[in-house]
Amino acid sequence: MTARPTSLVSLLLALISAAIVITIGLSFAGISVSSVFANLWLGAAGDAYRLSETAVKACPLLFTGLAVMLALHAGLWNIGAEGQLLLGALATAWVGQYIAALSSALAIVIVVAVSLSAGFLWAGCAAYLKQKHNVNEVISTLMLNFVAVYLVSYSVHGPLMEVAGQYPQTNPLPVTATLPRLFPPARFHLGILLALVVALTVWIFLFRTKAGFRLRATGANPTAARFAGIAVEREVTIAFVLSGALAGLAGGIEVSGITQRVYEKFSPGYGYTAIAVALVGQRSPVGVVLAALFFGALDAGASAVQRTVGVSSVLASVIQAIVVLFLAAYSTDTIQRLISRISTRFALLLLVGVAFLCSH
Amino acid sequence: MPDVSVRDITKSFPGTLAVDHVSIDFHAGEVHAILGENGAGKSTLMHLLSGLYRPDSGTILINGHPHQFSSPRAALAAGIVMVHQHFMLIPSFTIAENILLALPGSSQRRIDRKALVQQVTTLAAQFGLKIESPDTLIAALSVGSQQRVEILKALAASARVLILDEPTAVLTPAEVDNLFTVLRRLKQERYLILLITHKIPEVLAVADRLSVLRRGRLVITTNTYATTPQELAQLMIGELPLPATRSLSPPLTGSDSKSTPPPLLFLDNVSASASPGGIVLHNLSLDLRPKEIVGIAGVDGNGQTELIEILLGFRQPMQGTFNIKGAQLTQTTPTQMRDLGVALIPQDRRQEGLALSLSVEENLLFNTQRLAALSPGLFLNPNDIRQFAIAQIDRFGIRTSSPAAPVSSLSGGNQQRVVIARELATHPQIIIAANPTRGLDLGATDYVHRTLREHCQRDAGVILISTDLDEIFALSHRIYALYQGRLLGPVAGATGPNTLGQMMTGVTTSS
Repeated sequence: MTARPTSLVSLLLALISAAIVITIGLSFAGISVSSVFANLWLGAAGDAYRLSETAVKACPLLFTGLAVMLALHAGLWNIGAEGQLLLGALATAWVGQYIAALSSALAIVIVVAVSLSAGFLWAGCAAYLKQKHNVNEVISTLMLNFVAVYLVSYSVHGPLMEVAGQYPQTNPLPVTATLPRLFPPARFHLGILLALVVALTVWIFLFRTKAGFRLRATGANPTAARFAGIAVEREVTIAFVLSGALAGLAGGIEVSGITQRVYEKFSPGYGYTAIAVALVGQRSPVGVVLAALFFGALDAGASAVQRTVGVSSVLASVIQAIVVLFLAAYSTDTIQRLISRISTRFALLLLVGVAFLCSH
Repeated sequence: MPDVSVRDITKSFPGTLAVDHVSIDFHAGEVHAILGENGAGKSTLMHLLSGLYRPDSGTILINGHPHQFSSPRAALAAGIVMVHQHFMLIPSFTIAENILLALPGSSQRRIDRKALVQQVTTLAAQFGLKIESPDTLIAALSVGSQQRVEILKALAASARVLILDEPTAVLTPAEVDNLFTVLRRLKQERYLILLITHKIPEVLAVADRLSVLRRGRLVITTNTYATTPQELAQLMIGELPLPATRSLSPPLTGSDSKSTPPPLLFLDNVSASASPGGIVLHNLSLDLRPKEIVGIAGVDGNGQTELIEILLGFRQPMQGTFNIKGAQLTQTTPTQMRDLGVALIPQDRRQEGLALSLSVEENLLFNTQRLAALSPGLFLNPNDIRQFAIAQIDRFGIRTSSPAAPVSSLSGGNQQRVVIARELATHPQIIIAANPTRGLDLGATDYVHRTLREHCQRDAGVILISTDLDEIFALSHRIYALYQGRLLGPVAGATGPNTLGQMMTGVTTSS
């Protein structure tokens, strides 16, 4: 029920390898490696405000990462978290116009419900296509992402454009529908706690309920699941719409907690990064929480690196990509056989050692 | 024109001696049948000839010269090709493209498509192989057509020795006739055809000579005309003494008992269509009563998979009725059959029985009956699951480092124990056991047999579908044979083994 030690070792090795590659790359560019890593760390965790920013960046990644992970447990690739997130955000902005008069608690409950439902329905399209017409879910969810992007674009230029009519963006949410900030002026909002509660709920669902077991059984071996009397088609649909609901929630929480509005380029690709988060998180909810924090920290840290050292904040994406690539390489059978001989403790030690070397 | 010989050839796999010092001479211009049950070693012997396996000892002679094949390609260079039971064609390529792939030197860049199509058409006409236009996609072809393409592929690659592995298993009777016509024509052209089969009528129809294998050993090589079907069945099956302690009992009939409970399971005149490459089931009638084990013998690929699919609710009968405990079923699903108390020990535990990435305790939970038997409600209690797992590991002697260990870390026998422990844990009334001891050692086999008998004594009924006749005779109260989608029998009393052997090989259809 927990990640196998070998997969933990391969994760640690992937982090080490990524650090080495980045070090080499920066050295070639003539940039001080130690100042990059130091500022990366300071920018992500230097003080309480920076920590809050890391959590803020991690929040949508956590929701969408959980979404992708849930689908993976049922053996499905939900490439459409991005589209489901956009729909959740759009639905929140739309419903926001009508709930200004409500009490704050009720308005927030409505935001949550509406964004969940929007993601649920958007993923439901892909589930329907899969069940009725045998359309591969990778294709359909990917295509639906483009539909979602253009739907957002159309909405913010047309029916949902702000009343002021100046920019292609929606009206801000009414104050009542805004998630409270817990430690102002830091942007740490209630949605981040909600994300952690959802992570716990997903863990309970997957590993402590019969429905979750049926879903994991379907993902682990669909043929055997069918022989075991599990209605595989039903499980696939359930996994899909639940996954979509989580991704939709990511959008609603982001609007309500941070942006207040929806606009084009609302998401810097959270739904795609989510796939990496789920993989790095080794398909475990705890792992996904840690991976989302790691990715969030990289985002927050890279902004600081850009400000102080002058290295583009794209650095965050580069590091993320390298980690995922190494992880994929280390997941191949031959390398797994080598890795199975390395103990977790040794890999941890190695990581600390490399980190130490890099920062000096 | 090659004469092919194997001399004193031996091949062993861990735990089994698959081919045991076999020597046979094959002559160009003959159809030579290789007869035997499942596991007799006929496929292994042919794989040695076709370069898939290398012999442990012994030699292969072609026209008197020793040859060693390191790969199927090397065997092809010597003119030997195997046409597999499951065709090795690329469905999204055309007939011509598939044939091109098999040609030596197919890696050359330029392809003369016209010449290729011409060659394919000529070859097809020469041997009476009726195929669609060479530009047709394989995916659009019938199974019989695909087989003809496989044969064409071999001929186009200049093979002179064709090994056909159970070629008629998936063909309609008309297609079988057509295939035999092609084989006769190839024979006239001095090709050597080796035909792996367990169907005696086919051997009599098309083979000139034949060799019978049993448990890896050559029993006889003889001319077809010098033998009788009854004798061949006997040679294939061997001696099967009935266990002294048990005898076959007649089925319980209504008049035997005062209160007649409805049969647990009752199939009446059930027929089902074939899936692609599968077997059509014809007019099956079968009943199962409490406290009995009904054995269904047969060589693989005679409809066992289709029968299991009907019994488990995957497949709907096209006609006939299907009752469980007196209730007639119409649209069945596996979930519904599980709810009705049907348990399955599947033929392929790794594909159909287990989720290898999950733990032992999770696999012990892996069916809807077990899930429903847990404490009611939505939640799983990890302590209950752990305790149940520990109890089963203890009771069934499952050797594992811990209940949380992945089931893939267990040996085959222990994996099978996990499947059986789970399937029998809910005391199902109807147990379908398909080759439950395949690949197990003697101790594990004995254990599985004892467990099935125990459950049978406790009011369950067992349908035992097995290719292992020792197992069928050791366990069953009533015995049937499945041959080409038809259920034959039941087999009666002392003449059992002989009659059964003849039924399984198509020599006779009634006891």
